[in-house]
Amino acid sequence: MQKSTAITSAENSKGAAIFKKMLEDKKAIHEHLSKGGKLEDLKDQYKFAKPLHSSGK
Amino acid sequence: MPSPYILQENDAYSYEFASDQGIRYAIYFLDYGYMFSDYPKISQNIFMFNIDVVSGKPDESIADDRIGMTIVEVFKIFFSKIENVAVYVCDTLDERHLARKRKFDLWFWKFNDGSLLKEDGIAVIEGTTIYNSLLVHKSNKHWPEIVLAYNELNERAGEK
Repeated sequence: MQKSTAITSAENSKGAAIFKKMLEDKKAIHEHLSKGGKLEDLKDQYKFAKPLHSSGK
Repeated sequence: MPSPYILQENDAYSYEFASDQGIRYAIYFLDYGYMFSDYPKISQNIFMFNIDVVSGKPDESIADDRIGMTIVEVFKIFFSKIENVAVYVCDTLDERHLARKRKFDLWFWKFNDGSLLKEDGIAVIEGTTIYNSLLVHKSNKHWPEIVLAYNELNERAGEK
């Protein structure tokens, strides 16, 4: 499998930014939950994926 | 035979469950489609997975296989949409990220039914090692492209 060259040097720091953002988001959400907050309170700050229902519906 | 914990859907954003040891967990997914913005075919379906403690003290609890089984149940639901892709990042807050990775790896290999592919990555950013994993359904026709993009992100994460 050949590697794609689609990612240019200008985007090289993109991975770092994304992983940092993920960690920051996790930390902020963790702190919110630790203080008794609900995820629903953060719905405007983060793009939560609406999970499929466990019933499959 | 242990079984997964019962999942509760208290809101439209997460699953929750309570362990036998009285610890409440939330499982949620955040949309990170822009992570693969150079790959428009797949950028609509990429999410960060996370499990977090809502209440209780997991550090004082004993090993509990039912938690891993429950996570795998959530993945089964999540991946009922074949195109979905999940990324798991081990947080580095308390230097226990390697332990988290090992636990996640153990759960995955113990309870995965074989339908998911897992690709591990290590991003070193400003001297900090970030362990992360990609999960994709084996029936996802774009999986080679997804794994390729993911590996590139990890390999180049430390570049300026």
